[in-house]
Amino acid sequence: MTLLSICIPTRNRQTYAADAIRYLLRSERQDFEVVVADNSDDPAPLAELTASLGDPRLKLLSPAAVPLSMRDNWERLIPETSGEWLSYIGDDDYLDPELCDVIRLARTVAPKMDCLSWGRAYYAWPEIRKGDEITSLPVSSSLATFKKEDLLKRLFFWEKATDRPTCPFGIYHGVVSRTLMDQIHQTFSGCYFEQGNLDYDNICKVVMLSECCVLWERPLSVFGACRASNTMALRDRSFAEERTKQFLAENPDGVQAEGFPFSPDLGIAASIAHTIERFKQKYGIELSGWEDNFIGACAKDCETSFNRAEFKSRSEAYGSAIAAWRGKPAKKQFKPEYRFRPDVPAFIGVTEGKLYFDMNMGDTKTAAEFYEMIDAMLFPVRLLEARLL
Amino acid sequence: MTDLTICVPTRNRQRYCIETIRALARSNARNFDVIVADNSDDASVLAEFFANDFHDERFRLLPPGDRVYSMVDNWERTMPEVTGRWVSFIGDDDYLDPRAADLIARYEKTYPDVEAVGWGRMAFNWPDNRPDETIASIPAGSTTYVSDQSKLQDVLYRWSERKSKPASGYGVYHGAVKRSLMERIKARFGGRYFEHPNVDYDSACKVTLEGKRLVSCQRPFSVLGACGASNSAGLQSAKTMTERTKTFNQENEHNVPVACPGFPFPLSGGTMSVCVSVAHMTYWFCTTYGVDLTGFGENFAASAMEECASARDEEHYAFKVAAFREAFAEWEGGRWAACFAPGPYNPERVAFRRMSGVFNNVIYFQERKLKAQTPYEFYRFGEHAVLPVKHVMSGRKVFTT
Repeated sequence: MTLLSICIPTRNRQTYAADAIRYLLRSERQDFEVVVADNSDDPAPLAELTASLGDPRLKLLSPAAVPLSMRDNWERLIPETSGEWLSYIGDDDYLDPELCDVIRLARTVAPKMDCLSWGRAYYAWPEIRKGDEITSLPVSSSLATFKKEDLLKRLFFWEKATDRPTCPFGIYHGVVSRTLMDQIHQTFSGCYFEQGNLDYDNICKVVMLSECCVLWERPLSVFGACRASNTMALRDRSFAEERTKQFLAENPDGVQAEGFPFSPDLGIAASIAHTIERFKQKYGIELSGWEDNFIGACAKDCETSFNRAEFKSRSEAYGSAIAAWRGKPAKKQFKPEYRFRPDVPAFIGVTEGKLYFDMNMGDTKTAAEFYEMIDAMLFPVRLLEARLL
Repeated sequence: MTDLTICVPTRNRQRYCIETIRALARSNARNFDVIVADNSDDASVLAEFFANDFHDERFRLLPPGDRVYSMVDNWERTMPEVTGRWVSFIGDDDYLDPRAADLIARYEKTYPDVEAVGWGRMAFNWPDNRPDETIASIPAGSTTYVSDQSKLQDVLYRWSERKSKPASGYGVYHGAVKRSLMERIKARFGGRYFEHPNVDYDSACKVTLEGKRLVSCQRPFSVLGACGASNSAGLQSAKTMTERTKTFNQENEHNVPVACPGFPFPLSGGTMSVCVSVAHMTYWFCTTYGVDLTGFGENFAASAMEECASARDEEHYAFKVAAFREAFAEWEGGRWAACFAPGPYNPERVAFRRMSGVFNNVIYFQERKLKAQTPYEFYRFGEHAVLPVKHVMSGRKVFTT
């Protein structure tokens, strides 16, 4: 019985995907599968890899006759999976198959659990690093359930948001039961994934329908960023225009919510807000009282800028959009501060529940290698049971 | 005169010692020197290494004497050879970052009367010393603090923290002591730099009592290595520990007795442990030099309970508890026996004993998943998770996250 299906949609980044696949299959576990949806122009590399590995746990979906949109490539994966639980990662990411044990154990304390998420670990592949970069890991390893009310507040009311909502419960770097995904399919327009930022599209639906969400603060996956990643636009704004074009081209029905005058390429806050707003608009969810928190997230988004000119132009653009959206009084609340201080070194060590360390640690070359390294210094998965008893 | 002399006493572990020498020699700094005090049965290995393979004027070899020295005597004979204003000792399977000399210089500027400098220590088991799941550790802090000596004395002499062994924050072993303080120690304590076979604690006890100002940095500057042949490797196996203890006692028969008379906790059987070994040392020091022991009885009973809790299984726990109970009944007519009241066996303690993760500002690693093969490699690896030395030196307080 397959407990977990790890789904990897990929397009033209075969070397990254191949690395993740090889590492995943090094696990001796037999209760998971890896399903790769290849949307590349050249089907050969992954087809050859699959043939050479000859591992029944690996299933490859070949490219379609014409390239699919990202949504369609995600959508076609689920019918091909057999796991009781489903998780998606990017092709430059990594996920620990030991997640299977965590699912089993978490269900013993939360029998109604239908979504499980975990702490975040971020990795920039060496090719995109500009000098030494510091990354962080949560040091806690608590396992906790969340009240639905709190999740709704975090997602739809942007409570406790950074430059994005802090609600990690979805299928992307989380795991969702097949039952819940089928329910999503049934409830929302007959598809698993619908529009915009697919991770947040899914989070909206999970939060609405889930019976019980569980968070283990110990990271079980790595969010990788390589040159071709969408997240590259967050690191280097010169990539933003190109990525937005690509994003728009892949969403022929548009990505913008009505009456929401924020250009989606302003930044992550605007882009995610469009996905959430479109979801609300389509399914008739009307809320008020979230606007101030969202304006705060817009300010935090501007504050991620690495140079003053960019900060200024983004602040002005966000400011204009806020004024157009909710008038001048709303704009007055928008007070981003330029925080980038190249003269102040980055902290390394433990503070406020996180370990900050140089990403060069262990000289890792891939997201999977990075996970292997951090796995050695995180709470052992095998001890979760003892902790829960 | 050089700033810091790093002493590396060694016996019959030439392979590790050579690795350690090469690691220290990677530094380009000129403000330190190294003395390798060879106490091996075969003098030729290190002699040939120094003659043929290794040429660095910062390093000096003291060849073996005409007899095998006890560990404490090998340390003792090294001290007169020290030329540095400061001195530090490490094991031959350890590592010390020579930039510790810069740290000392920095502290001397800020605290001109400083006489001992401590720092965080990483811990690493060599690949040949991992019989099962072993853990390496890296203290991740970077704060400097001037120690409150009365509190330190409470911790070290009277075991006030009630841990399975007291913290030995200062001393020549993985710390640095000003040579002038070492001379005062020699004058005050038995006419020797080191007396007790438990040399690291011997030094810690004396520095803590005699030192004027003690300054410590949380940031690690050294690695406590444990290779398959090291004394600390005994911690991984009871059988090995019994053998090592026996050899250790034999080698030290001409020194201060390892077991202190009047402290009836055997260094064998169920009480055999680092806890009891250190207790013999601190108890000997306090009774010999008239240090107040008020509170030690109750505290040591609590420490003994901590020690018992580290038992590998229920049977071992019962074995240890019975042995300690017997010793407490005997010690000072059973005066502290009631304080030793261990609860029932708690298996959870065992499950979480060797656990990776970040706890109390220390990062713990599952060693089998590490690529580092030597303490030096582990140090370089670990430095990515601690504040760079330049920021420690500058005293910088403001960082971004």
